[in-house]
Parts: sequence; C-alpha cells; structure tokens
Amino acid sequence: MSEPVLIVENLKTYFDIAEGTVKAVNGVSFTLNKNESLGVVGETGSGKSVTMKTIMGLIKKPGYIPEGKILFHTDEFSKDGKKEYIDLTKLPPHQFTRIRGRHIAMIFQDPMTSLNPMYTVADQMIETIMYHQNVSELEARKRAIELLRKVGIPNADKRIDDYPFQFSGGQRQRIVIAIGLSCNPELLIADEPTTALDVTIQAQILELMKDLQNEFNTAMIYITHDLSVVAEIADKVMVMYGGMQMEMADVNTIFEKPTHPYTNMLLNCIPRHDAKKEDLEPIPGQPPIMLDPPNLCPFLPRCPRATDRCRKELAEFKEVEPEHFVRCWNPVADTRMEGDK
Amino acid sequence: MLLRVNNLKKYFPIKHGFIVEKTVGYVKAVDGVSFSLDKGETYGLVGESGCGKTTIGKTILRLYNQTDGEIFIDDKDTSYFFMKRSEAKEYLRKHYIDILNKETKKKSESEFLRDLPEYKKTYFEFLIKNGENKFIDFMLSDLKGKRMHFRRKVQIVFQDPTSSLNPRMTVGSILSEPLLFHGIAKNKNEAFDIVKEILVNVGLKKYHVDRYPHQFSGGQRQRIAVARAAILKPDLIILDEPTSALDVSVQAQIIKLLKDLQSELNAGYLFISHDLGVVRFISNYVGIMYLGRMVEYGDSDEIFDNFKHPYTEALLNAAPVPDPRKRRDRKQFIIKGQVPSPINRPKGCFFSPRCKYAFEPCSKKYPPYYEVGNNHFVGCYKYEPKS
Repeated sequence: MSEPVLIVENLKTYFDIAEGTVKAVNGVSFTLNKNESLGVVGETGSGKSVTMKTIMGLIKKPGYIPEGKILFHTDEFSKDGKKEYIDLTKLPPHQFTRIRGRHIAMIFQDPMTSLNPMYTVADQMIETIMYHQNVSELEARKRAIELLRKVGIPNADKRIDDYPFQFSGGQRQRIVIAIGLSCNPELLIADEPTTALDVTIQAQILELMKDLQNEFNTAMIYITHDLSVVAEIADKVMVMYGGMQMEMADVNTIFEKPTHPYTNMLLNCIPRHDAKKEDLEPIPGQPPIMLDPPNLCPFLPRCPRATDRCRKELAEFKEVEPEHFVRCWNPVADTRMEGDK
Repeated sequence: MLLRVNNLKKYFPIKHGFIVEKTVGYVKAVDGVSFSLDKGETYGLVGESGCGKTTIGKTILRLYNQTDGEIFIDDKDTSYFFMKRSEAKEYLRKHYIDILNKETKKKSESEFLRDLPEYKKTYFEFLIKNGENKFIDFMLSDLKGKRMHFRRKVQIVFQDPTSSLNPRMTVGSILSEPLLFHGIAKNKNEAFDIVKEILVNVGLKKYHVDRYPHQFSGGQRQRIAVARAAILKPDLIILDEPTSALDVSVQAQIIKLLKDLQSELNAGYLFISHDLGVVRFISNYVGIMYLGRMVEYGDSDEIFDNFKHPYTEALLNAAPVPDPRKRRDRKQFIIKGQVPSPINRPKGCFFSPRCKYAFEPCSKKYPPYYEVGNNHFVGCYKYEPKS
C-alpha cells in the first residue's frame, strides 16, 4: 500500500539576479512513499540540489518560489486520525524549524564542513536531540551513544566526546547520518552523501544507509551525479536536466529502457570496470546556462534526436507506461543500445 | 622504453620539535614501486586516497626527489636531474660506482656488462672507460639543459582545472608561455599561431585565445589544461585525476580527447585515478595500489576480468556498477575498517589485518610478486606456487 510522505507539484524556484532570472527549478513534480528511496540524478546545474533545498525551506533571497506545492505528511499534524498534508511552501520560517531536522533531515556531501569543528560530537548530537525532543541532557546523551553504535562507530561511549577532526572521513559521514536520524525523521534527504569518500568506504556507507532505511522506515531522497550509486540504492529514479525532470521511472526501467535521449546517452557514456567497452559516446556540447532559458526542452542544443517540434514547444512530462514518465517529443523507441545487456 | 621506474621510494619525514627539529618517523608514501611504460601506451594507477598514487606521479615529474629508486625516461637516467649537486653525486656513487665496485669483485667487467639490461649498459661502459671522476663530471654537466629538456618532454594535467589555470592570464598567454620559454616560437605572434592551432585541436575555438579561464565551463577549462600539456609535444603526460571534477557527460568528452591526442602525439600516459571504470577504459596496463605498494599489476583487461588479490577483489566489488540487476547482496565483499596509517603499517602484508583470506605467513613478511597469468602479477601468498 502506498503512503505518500511527500507530494511535490509543479515546483519552481527562481533566482532574480542583476542579469535576469535563473530558473533553477522549473516545474518539478513527484510523489514519495514511506520506505521508498528516490534517486535524483543530474549534472552540475541541473537543479537537483536546489529542489531539495526548496523542500528543506533553505531558499533565501534572491531566490523565491513563484509556483508549486510541497505537500508533506507527518502524524504530528494529523487530527482525529485523518491524513493531512501541510504545504511547506506556505509555512512561515519560524514554523519551519519544527519540521526541519525533526521530520525532514538532510545529509550533505562533505562531512567535514557539515560538522562544527569547535564542538565535540556529543555537543552537536545532544543539541539536536534536545532541540527537537523533550528529553533531559542525560537521556539525549544516551540516545546519541545508541545512535553512534548503530551507525558503526567503535567505542561509541568514549568517542562521542571526541572532536570531528579525530574521526576519519567515513566515520564523520557516519556521524552526520546518525545526527540526521537522531529524531527519527519521516524523510531523509542525502545530497551526494558518498561523493567525497573512497569506493570501499562508499560501499560501507551505502550498505549502512540501506540497513537504516529498513529499520526506521524512512523515505529517502538521494541526490547524486553518479548513476552507479543510483543503481545500487534507489527504488525510483528521477533524471533532471536544466531544472526540469527528463525522465522518471523505477530503477530497472531507467537502466534497461532509458527512453529520453539524455538518459540514454548518459548511460552510454559511463565507462564501466566490469565490462570492456571499445568506445565511449560522449554527449556533445556543454551543460545549459539557466539564465532566462527559453520555454523549450533544455537538452535541445545537445540532442541528436531534436525535431522541428522540439524547437517550437516544450513537451509535457507524460506517462508513457505506468509509472514511467518522460518529457520528450521524440523519445528513444528501442531499448538500450549496443554494448550492454 | 619511454618510462622505467625501478623500486621507487618516497618517504616524507615527520618532524617534531620547535628549535631543534628531530625526525621521529616517516610517512612511507611510496615504498618500492616498479613499472614501465612505452610510447603510445597508458599505465593506470588505481587506489584509494593515501595509497601514494599521486606521489608517484609527482616524483616522476620530479616535483619531489625520490628517497630511493631510479627513474629512466627514454632510457636516460633522470633520477638525479633535480637534486642538489652533492645529493646528485651521492646518487651516482650509490647507483653506479658502488654497484660496479661490488659486482666486479665477483666477476669480470665484461661478464658484468653482459648481464646488464641494455639501457644501463651505456652508463656503465662510460664509467669503466673513463673512471669515476670523469663519469660524475659528465653526468653533472649541463644540468640546466637537461632539466629544460626534461620539462619539455614530461608534462602534467591536474585534477582541478580551476586552480591549475592562472585566473589573471588569458588562454593565449597561458598557452604561449611554454612555447616562448622553450624557444619553440620566436615571438608572440608566432606562438599565438601555434596556440590557435592547438585550441582547435582540443575542441575549442580560435577566438578563445583572448578569453580568461573564468569565462569557460569546467570541461572547457580542462581542455585548456590538456592543451597546455600537449602544446610542447611531450613524450610523457602524467594525468592526475583529470576527469574527477567533471560531469559524466563532459568526462566522456575529455577521455575521448585524451585518446585522440595520444594517437596523434604518440605520447605515453600515466593515468592516476580512483575511478575504476575510467581507468579500465583508457589504460593498457594497470597497477592497483595499497599503502604505497602495488598489490597487483598487469594488463588492464586481465586485471579487471580476472583479478586475484583480495584487495582488488574488495575494491572492484565495492565499486557500484550502473546496473540495478547486479545489486544483489554485496555485504560479503565489503571490507571492514579503513586503510591503516602509512606511518605505522601492519606487519607483513599491509592488507592482512583486513583480509578475509589471511593465513599464517601473511602477518610475517611482505609477499613477493607471483606471476598468475600472462603479464599479470600478484603480491599475495595465496598464489604462491606449490612446490
């Protein structure tokens, strides 16, 4: 049974700067269920991080939300057992603090900059727990140690009083995950959580996040530019380009039947270590500049399948198969091209 | 052979004390690495952070002087080129004169020469013929010219093109500087002609010469960095994570550019990366590094399809693949813990404390390399031939 935790409808985030308007997020819609993980893939400037920051209510001036809804459900806001959603875009900043951290938590890419170097891990964890939950400091400390154990920090009860620099990169990311999960949030957003880590450590962290998701029943959003990581961890994948969704489907469909030319080409230009490839097919051109973009497909200048229609109007984000959405006038009909099975 | 690295070692001293500095230990960043590379070929160095792969690159480029070992480029000994005179003399004594004196006690000069590899023979022949002093004088003569030649023949491309290009110089002046310095172009106009040509070659436009680095995207900047390395037509290019800072679609463009350039220049590439997919695609040979040593090396395809070392196994199984069907349960392969410190390395095989196959000899002595396939070597006791 699907229980949507988050429903995003036609979300837009613009930034007004001297040169014009940067349309960083330009009409994004998706639904996320309990215990589901959504992988958001995109290159630099595709709007994936801004989308998530908008959901977290972290957009500051000159950014604004001209349109769209972010509907979020949590039991705390439901009356009489009736399911209710609150629109996060309408929530005033001082009320947002009740949501952020408590119900929606975020993990950032670089664990060194997301921990305060001046405070011990204990200080930072206890602060979070006490702020959001009505517990004593002693109780909060107990919980913090418990969480550190869960994320696999050895001698958690002693090491909790260490400073961030005394931990390795992988351990720091584990601590950040522990802080993120400390209030048992309904939604956890991870922004490139393993990009700064080595492969073997990355595998450990991904495994840990999978286990924790199953344990806590959290809905998760993984933002990444690495399609391999998405293949590893996501149930559903959303491919973004130029502030728009290009394709969205479950993970197997995306990798086996990439229908949008961008997704298709992206998969063909990843070199793989487990299979020999004679040639790579790079996508020509450069990522788009999001300053006052025309109301056309952002991939148009780099697309080899562009038709006259593409140059005239923007395609809708249409459901071509159940649960498989594509925004393209001229989608790739046949499945994955040569080379891969 | 374009590049020969013999038993390369680079230790960084750890110093303590304020007024009187005392060396209390060494970070053994590179500890005995040997490999060779021919023109037109690519050698991939793979490993996690701290395994010493970048140190190897920088030592070959002679940004560091090696602690021990030899680096031959084009069969010429370049190991002492950037040392102080006294250090260079010491190097020559240790690597030539002492060896000759020691060996000729056991056997005759002609026997000794016969057993030497071809590229070293000329050096020893000269030494025998002219004696110690003349040999050292000859080797140390015109060091400046030798250095200039070396710098022209060996180039590097760094990971982050934003910080490796001077923001105050136009692309034209960045690229024409090496031409003027090495006297390839006589004046600025001549240099700019060559620059324009190479810009087109790396996929940029002629009018880009007057632009500044900040006016380009990341991928374009990396093209400029590649152009700067290629403009002197070097024999060896060291590529230190050249695609790590780029988006996937742009990464493929740069890899393709590097490949095209290689067939044009017939240069050798030393490709340093942690991205296994990229290394497999571009390399002919691969060395997997762990804590300053290679654990496994050989032909690229052979290593990736037929890996033998437990660390390689763990590394390749940990790296995700863009195929959700291959997800399955990887837990059994995940290695626990983290890479030990290169200051206090474990006894015996450095990987043994984390290795699930470790048995008795592993914790005693570092294993030698065993040949397990056609040009495929593994440093692991698991593959010791049964006698």
